[in-house]
Amino acid sequence: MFDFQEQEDLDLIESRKRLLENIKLEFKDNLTLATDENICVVVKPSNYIEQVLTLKNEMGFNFFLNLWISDNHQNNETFDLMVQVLNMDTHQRAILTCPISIGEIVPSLSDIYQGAFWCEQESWDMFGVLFEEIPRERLLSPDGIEGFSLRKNFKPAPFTLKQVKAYTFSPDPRVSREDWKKREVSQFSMFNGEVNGPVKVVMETYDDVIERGRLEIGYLHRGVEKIFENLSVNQIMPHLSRINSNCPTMYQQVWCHGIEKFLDIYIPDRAKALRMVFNELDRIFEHLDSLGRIVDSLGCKPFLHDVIEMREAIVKVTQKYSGSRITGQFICLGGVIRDVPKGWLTECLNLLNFLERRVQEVTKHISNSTLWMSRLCQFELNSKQAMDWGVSGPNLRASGVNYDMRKVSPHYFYSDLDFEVPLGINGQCYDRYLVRVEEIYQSLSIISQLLDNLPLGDTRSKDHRIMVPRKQDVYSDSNSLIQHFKFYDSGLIIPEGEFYSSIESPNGELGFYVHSNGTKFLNRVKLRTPGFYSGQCFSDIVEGGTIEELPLVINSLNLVMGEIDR
Amino acid sequence: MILGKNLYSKSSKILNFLRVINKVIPNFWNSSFGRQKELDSFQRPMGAPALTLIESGELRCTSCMLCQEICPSFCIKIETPEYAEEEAAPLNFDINILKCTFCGLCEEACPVDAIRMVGPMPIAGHSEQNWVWDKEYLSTYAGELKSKVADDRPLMP
Repeated sequence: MFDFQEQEDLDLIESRKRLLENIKLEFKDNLTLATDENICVVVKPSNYIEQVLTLKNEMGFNFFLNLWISDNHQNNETFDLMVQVLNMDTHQRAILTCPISIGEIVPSLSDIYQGAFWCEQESWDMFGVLFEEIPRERLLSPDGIEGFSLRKNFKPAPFTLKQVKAYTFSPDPRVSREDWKKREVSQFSMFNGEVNGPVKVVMETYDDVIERGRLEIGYLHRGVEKIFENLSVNQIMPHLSRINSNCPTMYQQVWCHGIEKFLDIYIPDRAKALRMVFNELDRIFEHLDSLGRIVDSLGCKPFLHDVIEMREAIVKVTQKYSGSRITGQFICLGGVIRDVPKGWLTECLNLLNFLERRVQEVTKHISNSTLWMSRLCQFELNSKQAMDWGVSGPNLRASGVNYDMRKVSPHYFYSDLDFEVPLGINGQCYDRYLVRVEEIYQSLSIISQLLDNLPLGDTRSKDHRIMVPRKQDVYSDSNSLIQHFKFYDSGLIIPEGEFYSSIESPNGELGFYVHSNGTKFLNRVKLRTPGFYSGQCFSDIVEGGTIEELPLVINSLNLVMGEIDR
Repeated sequence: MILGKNLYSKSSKILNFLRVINKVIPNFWNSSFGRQKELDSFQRPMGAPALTLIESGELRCTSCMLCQEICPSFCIKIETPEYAEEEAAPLNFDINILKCTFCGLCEEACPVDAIRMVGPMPIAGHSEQNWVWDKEYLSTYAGELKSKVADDRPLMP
């Protein structure tokens, strides 16, 4: 029989080879790394735009992932501007590094990739790097702060909050000037738990209909990336689970996965499978949260209580294992902290049964109701817009793009599992809702497959760099005591270098860029949180809605403010 | 492949039933005769931190400073005697409970089992209350620890 899967794999390998050859011809000596997954190129500021254009138009890197500044030289004069793009055919990620000096004005990328807009504004906010055509306003940090907070010579000082003028829209080219002057500009702040975190919307309305809208973020900014510069690798772990409290294990998982891959640490199979179980539980938890908030913003209180009951059931089961309710601390470097307690697997299977029944019950009543459909079948995001903004995850799949990192670049046992990727058609709120509901069922099936075939063995790696002796041994054996002290005192020292790791989180691609210079503290940690890119496309899809529907738009995109503001 | 998809397809239905019944009956037996209680009691508490005592009533802490160094929110403050012998109890052991995030890293790092996260503690009060807990306060509720600790990790002798 002809094996389609094998043929696809061969095609992929061949297309990767072809792409690498092309890139080698194009960039020659500037190519610093070329593997099956990652490509690193160093470019000069003079031909920076040209190189990005060749990557986009000729090499097929059409998906924008990230743009950030990294202080890799540490002389406070030159920074590295880094752009990351993705080729969706060969699943390769290319990082362009462009060294720039401090006063230089860099051409903006936002005409080529729309999603670069907020990233460039953030780079000015954090590092003081100037971009053409980008407003020099604070995006995340509060107005009135002096200096640029992610620079190494920044010293925190008390400051007074500055009152900034409200955002003013430029004249709309689509309508005449007289019509434009009839519109009203108003602001709407949501600080009351309607959406997941505080956020403000500035909008232009005419007759109660929103003509243009804009999201203002930064009310939950904690400076996580700055905090990480003064913490060791182990100390960062509890902070990670608090960035987005709906999927705490995802963040810890990416962190550990990246370091383990970079240091070549082997993890036992049982730990891998357990990590996957908790990741999928988190995915369900996050999607249920989104479902509950959509239901809440339409005013259906009874269904909201059903959703809360389901979430509480998940919390109870994870609490049995980790001890704390939501932000559990059980994923560690080299596996998971301990094995599951006796009888936990049965409880988890019962939970799956309960969840499937309840989700079916809730969605049966609302999915086909005409009222529900009339409210949700609007706010369209088409696939071109989504890819331009860098939107990933369920929001991208709802507009018809079949891209799931669990399928195309699977880690752990995802390649052996039997699951499907749900897709939407129109990219409306209804599609996003349906995709999320279907993903809950797929996650349930993944967990049941994993629990059926849970491998035996240890749950923690025995690699000497990260091994922690058992507590009983530490009490009695002096060798173990020395090892214990060594690990917790100096921590794990990551050798000089940089790496990027990413997995599919419930909201899209979640990635960490880490640059280390061989000391206990890391030089730069950059988070690619999916919400930051979904948040930008809000201004595209909100047109034509009313003020009551604002929470619905935000919740259907599942914007978590803790994730966006970091 | 670890997760073989054809795991159950080769054997017959009767064999499958025997394999399952082999596990169901002991599980049912255990759950109906008292083993269930053990399962419910397995809850690793992640509440407030507490200091444990040895039998003579002194602190078990040897002020090795590991917990102070590992704490990600810098809420532990230990003062040691100036000319200390090898293992000396700390002069002061303060935890700022408003900064604490209850992550449990201090418990994990402690080599002598001197600090523990104990079960759900009601931590509510007035703003003028003293939120920096000292070693007397931290060790007063440690006496109840023995009943709360799970079987897999007994207290150190």
